[in-house]
Amino acid sequence: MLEAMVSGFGHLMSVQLMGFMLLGILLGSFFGATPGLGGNLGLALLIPFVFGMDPYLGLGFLLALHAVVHTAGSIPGILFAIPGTGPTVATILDGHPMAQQGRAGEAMGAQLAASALGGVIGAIVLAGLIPVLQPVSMAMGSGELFMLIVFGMTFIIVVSRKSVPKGIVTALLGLGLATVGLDPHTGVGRFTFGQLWLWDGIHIVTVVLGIFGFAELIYLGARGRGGRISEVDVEMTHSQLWDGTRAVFTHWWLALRTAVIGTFIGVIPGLGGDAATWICYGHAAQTEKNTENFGKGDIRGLIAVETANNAKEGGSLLPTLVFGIPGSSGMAILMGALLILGITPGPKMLTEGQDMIWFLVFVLVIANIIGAAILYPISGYLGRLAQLRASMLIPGVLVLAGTGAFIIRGQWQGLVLSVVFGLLGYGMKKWGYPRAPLILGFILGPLAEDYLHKALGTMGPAFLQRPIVLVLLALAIVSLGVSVWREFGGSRESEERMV
Amino acid sequence: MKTRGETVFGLGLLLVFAAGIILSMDWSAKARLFPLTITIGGVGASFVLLFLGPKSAVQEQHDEASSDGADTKTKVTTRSELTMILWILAFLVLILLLGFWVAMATFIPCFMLIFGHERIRTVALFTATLWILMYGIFHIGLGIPLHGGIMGWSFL
Repeated sequence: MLEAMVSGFGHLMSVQLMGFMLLGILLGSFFGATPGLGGNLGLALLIPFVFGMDPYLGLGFLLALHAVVHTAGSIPGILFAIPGTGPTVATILDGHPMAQQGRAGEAMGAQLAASALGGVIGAIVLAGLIPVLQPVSMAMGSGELFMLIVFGMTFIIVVSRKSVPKGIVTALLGLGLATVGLDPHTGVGRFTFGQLWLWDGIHIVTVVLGIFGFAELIYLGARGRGGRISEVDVEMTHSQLWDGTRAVFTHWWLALRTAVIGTFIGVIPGLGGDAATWICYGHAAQTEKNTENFGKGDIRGLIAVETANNAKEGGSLLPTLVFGIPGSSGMAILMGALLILGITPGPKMLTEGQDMIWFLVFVLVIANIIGAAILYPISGYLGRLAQLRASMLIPGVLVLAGTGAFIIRGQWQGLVLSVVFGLLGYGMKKWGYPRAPLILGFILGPLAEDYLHKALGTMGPAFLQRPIVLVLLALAIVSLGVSVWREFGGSRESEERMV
Repeated sequence: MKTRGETVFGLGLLLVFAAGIILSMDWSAKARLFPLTITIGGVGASFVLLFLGPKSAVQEQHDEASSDGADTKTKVTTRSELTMILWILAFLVLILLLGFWVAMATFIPCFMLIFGHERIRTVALFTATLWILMYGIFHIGLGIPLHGGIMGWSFL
């Protein structure tokens, strides 16, 4: 393991990689701090550009981008009460009242320091879990891996906070889309309709750009014409920034607790950032003394939320890499990038690709520290991104999305297909179909089919009788069954949730 | 109570899965095992959702808008949705007909002027900057040829 750790660290010693990480951090800050864009769109837009890159370079760039998205996403939340990204909604509770009280700088300083600290602790906890999980990988055969994918998908459908049947439909749609193209086992053209360009299947970038990229553009354009997202101006001083930073270290025990809790919530696929931030906010409110100012500008509330928000990224990287089950929608897109770069996530990563895991741990640590350091002097300027007009944002992002959809295979059909997926993605967003299961199904589809054929080829249907397979199958049925029963059983709680 | 759009969307998904079952019947048993299982499951789940499923997605849409960082105070109307979809389709058609470079030079100013009511000076500056940036990165820097378009090839 020490060898893998040294090897992983060795990959960081490259000026080119540091340059790409820096670019990723700047782009992540832009996408995070601009309300309506967000990290998923950033990843979707930039994945085409890592195609053909050295895997370490490409992943270093994308993970650095992803790592700072939430850090920057809190800036418009604190300054204007506009969440840059979803999980930063909880930041507004105490962050914005602080800004209203003339303590914007203090809030920003605390937010940046807490985010960096949370990100680093999350990465350290992730590193600590690697040796614990190594024995698990040894017990996994094709049958177990197939069932693990099935279980992982049911888990994400269940906890995706949407309707369970809708989650199932979108996951199956993703799995179905993954079968388009020549079947690798028989050479039969499936769903190709005689089109040569479909023989290689649909590219993950085409799907991701459509489902997240074009769909978000439609939403961005539909909700506002030319007006600014925010018209408010907030002033802050640099001395306030340092006061806020110091406060994080004064409340170090709270920061440590919420970072560890956030990391473990991130490990559970599908729970996502919202759960991590709200649970940690609740934890802080319950365990701290003199909490009467929580929700009115208490810096401890802000610290709890921000540490958890960044720490959970380290946690969600674990199921993504080790089990091939992304911990969040951002991780699902990142997993697509892994496959594009020729890396197949799964238990084998613990034996054959451990240096890559360590490399990503180090990237997380460095990106969080450098990201916060860069954001200190520019956070005030980034806050002004909330005042950008949609009429300027949309054409810029549209051009980038169109270019990405085309260059991935150099075919105009890919561009058309991406726009079609954009319409599908918008429909899903509009009518409450979760989009992450579709991406997950699309990514895991080929792996699931391959494992299924291998398991059937070696053991036949008897692979279903293996103990781990049976346990995973039972867990999948129970988790899905309980959720379906809750939704259709007419319970009062379910009714209230759906209305 | 489901909205008409939601019902049509759900029905569309049901039909896609049903078509998948029919198409996969022609393949060998090994080739169709996985897609057939998925499409049968898809038909079942879509059917349940469409005819037995829970109420509309209004609350869910609100939740997702919030979680995506959107400003929920802003109202999205069918008209504004269609307008934006048409803008994107117009950009797509321009690319297919005239190619990326001409499409960018025509679409961006039109969009900013008509959709955003921007000043001409801002539009000119923004379009020129974006065009030069994209040309510099893709054409000169990376050497990636972007789509020239059906008509674009003839005059570029």
